[in-house]
Amino acid sequence: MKHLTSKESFTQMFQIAMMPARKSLDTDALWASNKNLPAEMRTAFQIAARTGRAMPRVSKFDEMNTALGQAITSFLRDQQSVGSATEVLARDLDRLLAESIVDPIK
Amino acid sequence: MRAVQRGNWTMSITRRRWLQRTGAFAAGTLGTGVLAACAGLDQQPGAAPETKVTQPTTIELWHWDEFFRDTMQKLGDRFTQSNPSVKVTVVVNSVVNNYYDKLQTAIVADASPAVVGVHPLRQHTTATSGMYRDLNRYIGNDKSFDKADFYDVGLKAHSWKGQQYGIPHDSAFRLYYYNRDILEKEGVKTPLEYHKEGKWNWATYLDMAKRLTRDTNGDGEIDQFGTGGESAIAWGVYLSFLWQNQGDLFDAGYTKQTVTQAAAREAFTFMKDVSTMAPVAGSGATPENGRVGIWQDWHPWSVLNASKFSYRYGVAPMVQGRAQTQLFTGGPAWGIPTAAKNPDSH
Repeated sequence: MKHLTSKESFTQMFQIAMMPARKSLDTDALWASNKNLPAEMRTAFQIAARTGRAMPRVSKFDEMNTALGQAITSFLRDQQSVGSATEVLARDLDRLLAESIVDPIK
Repeated sequence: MRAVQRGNWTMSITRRRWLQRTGAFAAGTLGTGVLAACAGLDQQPGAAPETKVTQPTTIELWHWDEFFRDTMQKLGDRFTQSNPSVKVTVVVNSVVNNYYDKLQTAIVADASPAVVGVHPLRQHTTATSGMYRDLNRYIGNDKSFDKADFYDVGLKAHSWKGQQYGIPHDSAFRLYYYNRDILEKEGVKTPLEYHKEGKWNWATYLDMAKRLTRDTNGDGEIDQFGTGGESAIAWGVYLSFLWQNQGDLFDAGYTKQTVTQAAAREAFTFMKDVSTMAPVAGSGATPENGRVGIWQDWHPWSVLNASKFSYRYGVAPMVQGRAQTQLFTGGPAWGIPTAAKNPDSH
């Protein structure tokens, strides 16, 4: 069997809109291969790749995310003001941060 | 590793070849990456010698995305064509929490999968628990692995204290979708047009959403909504807005939270302002049924949903705040569980 090349294989992933993780895969040919993707998505992708930032480097981010979701939901639903919700959130985040391992690289 | 081992084989070789193939697809993102050059299929100069697998064996690859299953299995099947002794089984546990619960159970039961997807939300949590192998030495031994070819933010995202525990197979990001029919009918420029003018920003977004939100049939109820609202629970949303407003969750050294600072509160207030133009409970309005003008989602959303649309849609980059930035997870990624059999033989 002819072996796949990485580019050939990624084309299969690209058909379900998986985005390139390597710069050399972001080619005209790749984008032309998926007729279901609007051409403008490439622009959006390239801006995201150029300007994007990664997840916070804290070990308890999953628990922090729960606290954030609760706080944001509370002010979106007018259960609390933004100010009150962030005060509660701040206590949760400080507590979870104290329990976390962190790796602050840039 | 639920290595489901059926025979005498060298797990490492098979896994390396699988990873290469996933790598070929993993490495689609990996490139010819860590896994790609480990062995055989696309043998690279300098790659480690390969041992043939002769006994029937099944290995498992775990992930959480159901829509990804067919693609993964197709590649696994092609791997089997090249390696008839090795069957690849794709296991999908489609809820992230369930995925990790089951993964932990499998590991405790000494049945770890050979290869696992690493989810952005739990990536550092699971990495710091020691769940994954450090891939650095495989990368170091692989002359074809070009770190510089990866988007830097993506590769770094799956590192922890110098260890590389994952290799991105996707560059996850969020963007805006819009209902072209609604915008055209209302005489409103598209987010893409505003982007091209350098005006796709928070103020423009709010203004557009206000103009699009209205009672179209005169019954006194809002039935067309300018925006889908900004999710309270999607980390890609609140992080992006915090950063766009030059705020953050923590200070640079992760010594304290910073969500009570003005920049963060302004970002949260923006989310609240947007929500006032989003569908209310009971309205039944969704992007899919054509009653929402603009909404934010992940990049695969349109491919998964566009066939259901009765309208034309468009896409635009992430809206811009004071800074142009957003979450770019550089993931999901592939990892090799520490509990995988014969992990040192990769």
